[in-house]
Amino acid sequence: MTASVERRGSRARVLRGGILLGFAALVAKLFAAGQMSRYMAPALDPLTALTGVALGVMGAMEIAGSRRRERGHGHSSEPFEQLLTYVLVLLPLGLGLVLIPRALGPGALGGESVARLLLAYAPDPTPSQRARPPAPSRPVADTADLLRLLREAGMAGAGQRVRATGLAVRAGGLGADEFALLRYAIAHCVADARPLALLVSAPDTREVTWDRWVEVEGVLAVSERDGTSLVTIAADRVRPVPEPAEPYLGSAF
Amino acid sequence: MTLPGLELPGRLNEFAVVFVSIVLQSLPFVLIGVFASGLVQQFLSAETLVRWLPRSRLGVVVLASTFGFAAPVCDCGVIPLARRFGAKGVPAYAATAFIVGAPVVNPVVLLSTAFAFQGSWAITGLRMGMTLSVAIAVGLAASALPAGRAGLVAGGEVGGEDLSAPRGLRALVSTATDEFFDVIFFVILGALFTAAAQTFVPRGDLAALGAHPALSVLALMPVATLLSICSEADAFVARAFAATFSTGAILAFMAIGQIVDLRNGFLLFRTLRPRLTALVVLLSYALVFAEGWLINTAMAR
Repeated sequence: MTASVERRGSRARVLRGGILLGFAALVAKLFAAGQMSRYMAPALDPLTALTGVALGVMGAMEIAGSRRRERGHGHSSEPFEQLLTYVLVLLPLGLGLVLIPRALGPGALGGESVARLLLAYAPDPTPSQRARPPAPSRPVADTADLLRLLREAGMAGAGQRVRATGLAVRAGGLGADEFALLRYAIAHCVADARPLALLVSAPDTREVTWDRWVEVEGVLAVSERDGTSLVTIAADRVRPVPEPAEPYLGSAF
Repeated sequence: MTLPGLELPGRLNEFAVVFVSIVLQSLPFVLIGVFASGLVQQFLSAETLVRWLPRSRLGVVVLASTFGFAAPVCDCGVIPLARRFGAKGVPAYAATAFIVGAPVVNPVVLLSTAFAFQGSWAITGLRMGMTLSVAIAVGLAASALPAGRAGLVAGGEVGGEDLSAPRGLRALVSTATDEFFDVIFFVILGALFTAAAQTFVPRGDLAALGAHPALSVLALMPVATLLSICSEADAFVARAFAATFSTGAILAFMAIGQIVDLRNGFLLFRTLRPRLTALVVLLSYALVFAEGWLINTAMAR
């Protein structure tokens, strides 16, 4: 191996080490800034953190290896191909480091009408649901609690005072005093996001800014529409709120 | 902690968030794949591996299709490991059957499917059966291709048997790093296309086809290919379709999405010869469609 080829190989390893350290830094930045929850389900945090550590170690070892002039094993890419790889790898790295991410909005519905996603009560409650008293085990303070109550009590939960947070979204087919409260549930990352929507009826929706986060307080009710019993929050208060720290629901919903 | 940064408007924010999240989610599984490949390189000699293989072609294909139970890698990690097996002398048709079967026929994915479908072992069993049948069929069909057209492509080959190669942790990390940079280009390219498809391709009218026994299957299969969801998470998305789509369509979504997907498609093209890649894509699509349609027809009776 000539000295110039050796130098080029050494520079490439420093670059590769830098990229690996960059990914480790990205993971650290997302955790430190509280932005990881915009991308990934909190259940994956330990695995993501471990990945950051592993990438950091790989990066450090790659740079240390370049100083010792160690040879890589079986890496056969052409210089142009390597350059293309580095350029493409820098794209998510740069975006992740620079971007202030916001949670998915109505645009992620892929053109699907939110009216089609409205949550409905099961048509025929099971005997155990009919027998069970509706009182929730704790106050219904957010959307996850509300969904839990609906699963436990079904239609028997109607009349319960509830509070829920989500994106206020208008849709065709809804009345002037109605809107949908949209949330997404994710299992791993936002690429597998599933939308969930609750019908909200409010006495005055003129103050609501569409496609923004709102907190709704009211009473759980039932709206009959086209033979379906829709889960409805009869709201007495709708107020704008900032995007929550954990904007996505877990995979259980 | 608040850091300065760039805020993007609506759709662009969604595209960027989906793109970065796919890359972040893929990284741990790619690392598992490249380190597993590094371990195979160091500790499993080609001689041992070939000695373990059954004598019959069918035996080899069945073993490869179910090897995910021993090496439960998802679709992000399966190709680096398959490439290494290929480099160690495992026939390309067996490596192909492993690529098709392992992302679903493994305990982690089957448990997540059962969890997503509230413990429905019928759905879980049908999902495994569907993928396994396709993996075996593709493996057997690949074994019938002329050797020159059924191998791993030159660019997809990795370092083979090298008895003089250094061993130990440093060598393992070095091999894994080399392989990481060999595959990461295609993973990121796939993530870029998948994020674009998820953000900009409309899919609002699909639900109208949901109940039709054949059209519902045909409608959901390309969606699975475009969405390219990880095999450990796709069951949760499939469950969301359960209210509007037939059971056969849901199963087809979960089967084809792990065999022919945009995210790993580039890597598949990079790893297998064109004739073999075409066989995987076409035969898988045909079989998954036929099985999904048959399930719908059987359930309607």
